Amino acid sequence: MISLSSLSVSDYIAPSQNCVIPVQKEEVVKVSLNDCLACSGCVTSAESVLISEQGIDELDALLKENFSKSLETKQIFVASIEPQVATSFAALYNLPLTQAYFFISGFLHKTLGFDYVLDSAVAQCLSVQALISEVESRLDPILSSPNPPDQTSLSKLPLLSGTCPGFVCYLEKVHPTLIPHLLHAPSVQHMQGVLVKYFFAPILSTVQNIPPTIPLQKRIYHVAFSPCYDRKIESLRWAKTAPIIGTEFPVVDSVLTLKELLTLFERHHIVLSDPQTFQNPPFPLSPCDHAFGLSCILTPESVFPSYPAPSGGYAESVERHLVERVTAGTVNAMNQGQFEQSIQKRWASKVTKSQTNNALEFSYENPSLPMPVTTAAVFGFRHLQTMIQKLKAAQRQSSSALQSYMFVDLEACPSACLGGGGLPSAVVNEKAVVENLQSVQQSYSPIFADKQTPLVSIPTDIAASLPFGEETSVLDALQHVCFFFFVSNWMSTVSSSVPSCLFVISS
Amino acid sequence: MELQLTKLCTLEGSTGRVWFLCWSPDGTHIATCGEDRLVHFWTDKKDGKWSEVWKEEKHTGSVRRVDWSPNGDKVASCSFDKGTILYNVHIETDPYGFTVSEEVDLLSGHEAEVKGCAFNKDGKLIATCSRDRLAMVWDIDQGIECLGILQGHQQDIKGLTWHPSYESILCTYSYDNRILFWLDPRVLLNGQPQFDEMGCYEQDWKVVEALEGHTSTVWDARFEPKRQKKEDDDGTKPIYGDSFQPRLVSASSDSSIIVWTRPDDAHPYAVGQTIPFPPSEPVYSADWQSTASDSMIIAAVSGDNAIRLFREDPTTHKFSKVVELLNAHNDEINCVRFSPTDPTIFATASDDGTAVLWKITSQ
Repeated sequence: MISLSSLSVSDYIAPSQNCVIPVQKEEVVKVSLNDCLACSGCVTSAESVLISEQGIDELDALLKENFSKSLETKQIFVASIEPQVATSFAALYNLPLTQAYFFISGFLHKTLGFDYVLDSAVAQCLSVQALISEVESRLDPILSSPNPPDQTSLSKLPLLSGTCPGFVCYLEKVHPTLIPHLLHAPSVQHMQGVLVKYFFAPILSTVQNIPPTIPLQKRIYHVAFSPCYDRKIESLRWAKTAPIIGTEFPVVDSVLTLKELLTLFERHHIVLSDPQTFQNPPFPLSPCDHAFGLSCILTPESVFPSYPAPSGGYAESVERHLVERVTAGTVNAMNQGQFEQSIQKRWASKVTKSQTNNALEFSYENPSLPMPVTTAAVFGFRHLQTMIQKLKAAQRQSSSALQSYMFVDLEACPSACLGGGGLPSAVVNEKAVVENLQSVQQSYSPIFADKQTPLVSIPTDIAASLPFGEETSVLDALQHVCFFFFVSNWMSTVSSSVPSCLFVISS
Repeated sequence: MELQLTKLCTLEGSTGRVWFLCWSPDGTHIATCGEDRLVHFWTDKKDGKWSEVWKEEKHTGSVRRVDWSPNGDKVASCSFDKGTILYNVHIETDPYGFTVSEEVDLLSGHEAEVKGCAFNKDGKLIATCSRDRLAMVWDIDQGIECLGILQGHQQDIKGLTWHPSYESILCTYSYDNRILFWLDPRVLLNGQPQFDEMGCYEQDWKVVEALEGHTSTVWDARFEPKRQKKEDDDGTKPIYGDSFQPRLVSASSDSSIIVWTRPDDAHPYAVGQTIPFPPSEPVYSADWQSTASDSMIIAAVSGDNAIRLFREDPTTHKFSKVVELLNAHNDEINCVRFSPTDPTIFATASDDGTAVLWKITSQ
């Protein structure tokens, strides 16, 4: 694979400049997703490449092929709906969040023939928790010291979320000196992929007594419905650089965006613009599948366990957790209301001169602390550019106002994943839909917030052989049932300084 | 009245192609940049000679363009190393005194070679553009903030320039043969910062005009300067609505320059005149200046090493060739720019490793 060094490229280069790859041969070269990941040229590949490799045609073909397979070799189709997809769907058609889930789930089950439809709720909680514990562990020297941090500790600040594939790819390719700031905690999509392939699959195989001719991980075809095209790249990176020894399969086999999901509805002649479609659905509605506790949208009254924030509430969750930690010894116990009030939410003036909800900071100030506990949520490529300029200036001049932030949730799209490129443009452009979006989000509830691990339930016969009961924390279950390698690997990468286990630069 | 070109002075000292040049607003200095990865600063020694007074070596790749801020205190250079550097410069009252302060800022957002950079009128904004098909606008007043990422060109963006009277309009030109005009979304709220109440989207810079007429890469585009005489610049209207509708001249690989005109607010820019060059000679740069007789002169340079001047007919407003200097340089000429203070002087930069100052004289 040739890729041109920027210094050798003349300004008068003649071939197409869409991509550096076609210059190596005269005939048309097909560019694959793997090429895009390996090349140091453009950051994200053309949408056409993404769509041709992980698209609805491919899914259609697989579903059709599966229909004619024998029982032993039939693939099991599992869909995971990411919260921003259901939220946007609800906003587009003015539905309550649970109804959106029920409608999509019904369609995937009954019309397309998916075996399981999950809502990513537990993965959402675990992704936030993984990020919190990594922040805590990396900031431990600062958090446990009674003195203000020295320049060496400050130079590691702020820690940046590594859950947005657009941002991470961009940083790796264009600003690799900033990689040490990146956190390794997996995104919701990756966490869900791991849960499906390493938790759900083994239990399912025991419960259904499936003969182990083909490992169930390989028989499960896992489709993630996502707000973002770059998640397709993310799923592929996992496959290429799986952190678990011996893994030969991706944890997410295909990523489809909401736009592609809407095309699927269209192909099956379901007219979503007609309100009748929702009053008399052409297929029975269906809750998400319980899947031993991985989903939570099981009844019309269910709530989604997250902060009502567009990216999953990473900044809010980290802020609360860090404040609880630093105030534990020094401040008298506050009640919940006082605690809420003690955290200030304001526009992040260190990032932008204009007031915007796409750059917010959360701060707890107390004179007895060596430094205020401040985190920020910064969304959109424009603010991301400003952040990067300031971080690079800090590397040259060894200090920066941004070092007052302990953690920044940095996402490439304005409105984070609720502004994702895989969502219909109305979600970001039409005022009525945007208003709906706000109210749908308000139906989230941070029931597990940052302290409580969601529980999963293990079937009685399996639970009997394990050192815990039928209701157990998902982490315990994963660790004991089937997941030991992953958890230990994940925990150890958390404290190391190498680039993320999810996003390893291919050399 | 016959016009003639006289070579005033050759700026020698670069190794490799000289890509571009810019003048200090007071006309006393020139910055050049090129393949030697350097930015050279030259000063007018008032004895007919110019000499090099400063050299900047901070880039690690070919330096494609330089621009001098309108108030004179900053210079920007952009490079194939993907970065743009801002220098604080100080011109001493002593004619030979010149310093670049060590406080420099580096803008490094582009994914590929940066091809152009341009300060706006008050020097508080700088725009950059790149082979990554993006233009970026930066607020550099009291800290750096990215104000916009302009996505719309299908290919490499070769350069950009700000509209002289509508200060919220940025003009970019590209390998995709088009010239695009972009509107700063902040003017939609009377220039006040936009508070996105809904918190769910921010306005992007939008394309308000697309000039399609060239059939190959557009290498340069320049608005006509305001004429000295009949101008009524009240400077109060930030968006379309100003009475001054400057023409635009663009230079292209299709062996032509186009003079674009915009008759009034209600009509977009359209091709006013296409001036053909010898076939297969790309035109790399063009600039214009008003003359004492209040008609415009366009200077254009091209791949055939020639400089050509075109003069406007005061009644038909059409341009016709008045000077053709073949072999003005020993290699392709990349850039031409008039002096901001003396309308009879301009400078050119060439692949032959030199920049040259020229004087227009009439016989």
